[in-house]
Amino acid sequence: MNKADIPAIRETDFSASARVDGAKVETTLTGNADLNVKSQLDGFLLSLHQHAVSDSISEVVVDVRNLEFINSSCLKAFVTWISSVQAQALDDQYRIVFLSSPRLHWQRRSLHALSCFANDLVSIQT
Amino acid sequence: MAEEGLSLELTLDTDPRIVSITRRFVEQAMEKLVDDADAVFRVAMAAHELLENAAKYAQNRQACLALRLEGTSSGGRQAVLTMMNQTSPAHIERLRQNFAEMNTRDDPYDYYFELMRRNPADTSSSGLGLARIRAEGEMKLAFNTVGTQVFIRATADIPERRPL
Repeated sequence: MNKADIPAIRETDFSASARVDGAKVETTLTGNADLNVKSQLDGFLLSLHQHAVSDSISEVVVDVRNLEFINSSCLKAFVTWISSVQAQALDDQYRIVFLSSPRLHWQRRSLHALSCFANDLVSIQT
Repeated sequence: MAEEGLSLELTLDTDPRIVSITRRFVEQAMEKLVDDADAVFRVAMAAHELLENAAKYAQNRQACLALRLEGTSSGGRQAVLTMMNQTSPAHIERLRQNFAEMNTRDDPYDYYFELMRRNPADTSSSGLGLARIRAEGEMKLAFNTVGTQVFIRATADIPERRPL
């Protein structure tokens, strides 16, 4: 298992990290994704996408089971990322799987919205 | 309208670091009186989005957030969230256009998805906050201005308290 070349984010109230496992990237987001970390999250997702495309990754797992909240700006960062995947040729696209928690009420509504936005690419596991 | 035990008004600095702290406070206050965690999330999320808008666009770095839990004329309950702040005439015009467009779309989720598809690569501004409150938050939104003061009101139906 390799450490992905994707710079992690470690802030007081938010963190994000990624690691590569074969053709899969596993990412973990925890804390509170709000305006204070929006630009860092943009950079993280851009690095993640570049890595996934250059290394022919087939699936990115996003573990948000300890992500307490996400604001609309950070949700838009996910929309931007998913749109980038959609813009790739079909062979270069990869699946995105969100690992969610029923304990956190934003996840049912917001992740459902993301999956409707790209139901061919995005799935949710609870 | 009968008061239902919660009426708070906060005058806040619009420092972005305060927004999540305020959302957690709203959440904790609501949890004492509303035993539906999803309804608590919807109102707290709306408070967060409205306060973040104020953090971005308020002119004097101050915003006033009010939350009331009240009875309705039909015997139900509703949460009424009001955000008030000073902003620029240009931002008021943008808000007016956003509300005018939103009010022509009957389905809140269709409009939310429409905005997601509009300029998805633009990372400078989400433009999703109000549509999120309306769709995910299942809230009614209203907008008013007095000079350069803007008032945005978000109203959510709240389930009745379960009997003890």
